[in-house]
Amino acid sequence: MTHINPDDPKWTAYILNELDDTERASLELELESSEEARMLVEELRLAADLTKIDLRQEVMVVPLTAQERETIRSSAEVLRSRRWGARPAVWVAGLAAAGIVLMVSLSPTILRSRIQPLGAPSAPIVQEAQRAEQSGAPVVSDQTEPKVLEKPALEAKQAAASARVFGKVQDAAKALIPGVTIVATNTQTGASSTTVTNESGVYKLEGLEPGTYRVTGSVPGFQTSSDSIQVAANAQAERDITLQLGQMAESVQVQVGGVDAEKSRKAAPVPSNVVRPYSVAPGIGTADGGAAQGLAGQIGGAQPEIRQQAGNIPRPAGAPAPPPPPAEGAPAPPPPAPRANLPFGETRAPGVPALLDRIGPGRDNRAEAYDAITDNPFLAVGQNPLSTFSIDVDTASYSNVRRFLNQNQLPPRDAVRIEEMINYFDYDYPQPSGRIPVGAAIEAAAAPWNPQHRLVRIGIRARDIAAGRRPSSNLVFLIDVSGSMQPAERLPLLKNGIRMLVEQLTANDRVTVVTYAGTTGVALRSTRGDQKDVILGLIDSLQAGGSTNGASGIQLAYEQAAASFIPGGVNRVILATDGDFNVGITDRNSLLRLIEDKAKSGVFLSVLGVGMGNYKDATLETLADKGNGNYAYIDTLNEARKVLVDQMNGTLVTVAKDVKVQVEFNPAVVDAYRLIGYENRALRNEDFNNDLKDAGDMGAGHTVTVLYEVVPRGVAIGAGVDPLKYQPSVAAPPRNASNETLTVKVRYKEPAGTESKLLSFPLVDREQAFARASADFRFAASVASFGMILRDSPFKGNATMDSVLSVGEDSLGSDGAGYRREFLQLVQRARQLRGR
Amino acid sequence: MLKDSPQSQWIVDALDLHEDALLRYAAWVLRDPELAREVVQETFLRLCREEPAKLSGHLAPWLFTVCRNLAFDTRKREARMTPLEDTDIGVDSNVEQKSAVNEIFRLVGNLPKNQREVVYLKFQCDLSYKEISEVTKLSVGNVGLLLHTALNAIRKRVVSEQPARRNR
Repeated sequence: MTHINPDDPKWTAYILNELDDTERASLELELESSEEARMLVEELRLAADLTKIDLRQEVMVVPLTAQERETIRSSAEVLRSRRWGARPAVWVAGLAAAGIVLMVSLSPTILRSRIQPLGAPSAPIVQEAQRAEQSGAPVVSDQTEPKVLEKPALEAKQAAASARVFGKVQDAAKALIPGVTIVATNTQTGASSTTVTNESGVYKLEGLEPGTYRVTGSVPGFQTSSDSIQVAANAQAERDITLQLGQMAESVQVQVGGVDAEKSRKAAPVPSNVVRPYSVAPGIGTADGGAAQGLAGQIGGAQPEIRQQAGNIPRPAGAPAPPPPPAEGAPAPPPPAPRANLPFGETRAPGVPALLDRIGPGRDNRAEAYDAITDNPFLAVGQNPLSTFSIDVDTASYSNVRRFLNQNQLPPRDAVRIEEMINYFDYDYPQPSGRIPVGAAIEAAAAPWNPQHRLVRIGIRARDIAAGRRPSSNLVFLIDVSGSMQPAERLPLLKNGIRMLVEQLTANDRVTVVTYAGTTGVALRSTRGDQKDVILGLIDSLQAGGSTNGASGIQLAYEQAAASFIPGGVNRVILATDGDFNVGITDRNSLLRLIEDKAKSGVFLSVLGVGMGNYKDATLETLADKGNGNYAYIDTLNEARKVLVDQMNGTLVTVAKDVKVQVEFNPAVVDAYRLIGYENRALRNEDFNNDLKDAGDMGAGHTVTVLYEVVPRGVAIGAGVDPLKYQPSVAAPPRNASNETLTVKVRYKEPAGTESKLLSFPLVDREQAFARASADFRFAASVASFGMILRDSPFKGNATMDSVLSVGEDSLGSDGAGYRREFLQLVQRARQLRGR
Repeated sequence: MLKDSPQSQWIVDALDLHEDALLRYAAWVLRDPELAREVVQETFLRLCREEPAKLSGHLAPWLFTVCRNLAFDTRKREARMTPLEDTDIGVDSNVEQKSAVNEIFRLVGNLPKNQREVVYLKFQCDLSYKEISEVTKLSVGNVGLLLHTALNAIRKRVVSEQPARRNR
């Protein structure tokens, strides 16, 4: 082994990407041949990471205020106008800026007190600003003001409408939040003005009439905040807003009307940074809730009618509705700001093509890939007394369907997997008792779409893990940073989601980050979960670029997971991607073999799918299945929170593995049955007892809902099955006839076990009418109906969007998180799209 | 809202991109967030007088150079006014207390002055070797050497600390 010279500066230059191609190539040769060199480079990387992080923690920084930034900005205008002399347009712009300088100088000493101590260098500028201010001021008030205002509708009010409100929006951790919709509503006139925070989380609203305003800030994923502020004529007020991560529980109380006058009075004179958490509709403060939020927030003006809606929506729920515009032809309330806000940062005027091209409905969906599904048919009990399948806790199909509907498109039928839609929602099944990790609650009632048939619901619930009792977790994030991940709803959304998950981790956990694009690398070596600055700093720094080679990334991630394996803990690779493996192993089967192989190492896999257009649903779902894992599609920050925070234990902690269900039907009671959904989860009957046969896993607190449509004896099946020629079933019920309809058998393994255990649950149907069934039952039935309509299933019976809606509205239950209400919004949208 | 002219948009973009790094850098040199704000405001006010075209591709080094000069001037002046204070850049007077919590910081703080600054410009401000060379007027080769010497020293320190941490 040749010795290396650790004092050669090339090693540091290498890790900092400062070598040219030749130097890099020769150094990489050296790395291949020398363990010592590899060690050195690894250690230098570690040193560099730690240095970076420690330096960042060390210095305290107070950002410039919006006012100070404005001073600098307007100074650019002043200087520019002087340099360019008499060109009229420029001159006007310069004076407009001088107007700003005037305003600034009204508020005491901002400019001068800050700048003066520096002495000589700054003096000329200040003088210039002052000169401009003196000469420009008289002109500003009567000539240039209309130019200052962006909204023509306000011109008539120009004399009075000159107050400004500005500030920045941040979260509890002081991270600035772009893309927040800010609405200032005048509490006297109801006139409102809207803007969106820029990339730096800064907003400003100008051309306001003097008065008291309720300022609300809303963005999906955070609670809407609301605060009162008073601005005088020609004055400005700075108000920073802090948004708390949203608890959607408070979501649906939409406050209408009344201004809390006392609150305004108290809050107004003294600008305070304290904001009160405020009620918010699901996701964002729109009067009509979550689905509309999706429209306004996600697609950002992808279609004309949507843009329209996006424009009209941003008045948060907490803000009073503006009264109709005053009579006598007074100016209408200002038009909504002509911007649509996209989650996380992208704010764009409508008509700006780049993003629209990327996500425009009907354009890119061609590239999406779904496996074909054929609805399970009715099966005669005489021929098929057993029905066997693997459970599926995935919910991705629902989020994906939601995305389509929010884009004003009906989803392709094969994108609708009914079981995943049903399982998206929480159902209140009883906790399993004792040491058994899973339990089942069975209920039967008339099928709403065919009252002669019975609907049987099997609700399987996995044991919850008490908060704080989560086992130590070894998480390897495998993050796709290829070029296709660039759009705001891909990598930036994922980063925010992962950030929320990392916030939950403790010193017992370990986080590794592997990124992959054209090349693959460990971006963060295994790091303790409480070193949040390190982890979050790294997550923040991720950027998309390059092509994708999913396969080598997966290999590296499993290696990393194995290297920091926590025995008895949670060991999980979390693959975050749009699934577009466009380099390397693109052959799906070899990829699956790889994943299946790796799954045997005791490391589980979660797949977080994002993105639109080239989203490869089929690939991702199969990856998760083969990798002993789960799969979620993340389309909004709300969804990220649901999967990564609210259901963190379920996503991370597997409590039962290879869960299979086998239902035996009693031919004395049942003629035929049909399993709704789970089409691609079917197992052969003999595989139920075969412990070598892989099946779905259940995480802590997961619920799985299974629906069977059952044809009682003597009732026509309708479509499908010919009468049996040789079976005695119709004439002679078995002698030892039981009145049980069916028996549900569940097999599962402990997470580390290899032998399955069997549970069994019989059902006696009490002939319950549908209307008497539990709310959970009726809601699940309503979701199933919706799925069948979307799939245009031959078995949908008399289900209609209207019946789905009326059943759904009646069975909301407590719906703390607002998901069921959101479902109703989606049904309404689908109904519109179908032109009914 | 005001229509942003190209010039003021340029300034706003520059603010968005570099304000934070410059504030940190100035705060690090000056050990005073308020003085740092003044220096950074002044830096941007000076930027207002420049032609965007002339600085194209050199914006970051230009800003750091101006900010650095202003910060050092300010430091000298402050030092004259408060002669008792420890005036070594990037070193806090209460460094010893902090170091108990923060091994690496003590290590960076104990590096020779010239290494400390390139380490800072590299790892805090994320400038390239070439940009650091423009700001500090050191040659690119020298920047690389200083950085490596510093990082190597930190590495040795980290490696000697690390096994204990890993086993926990």
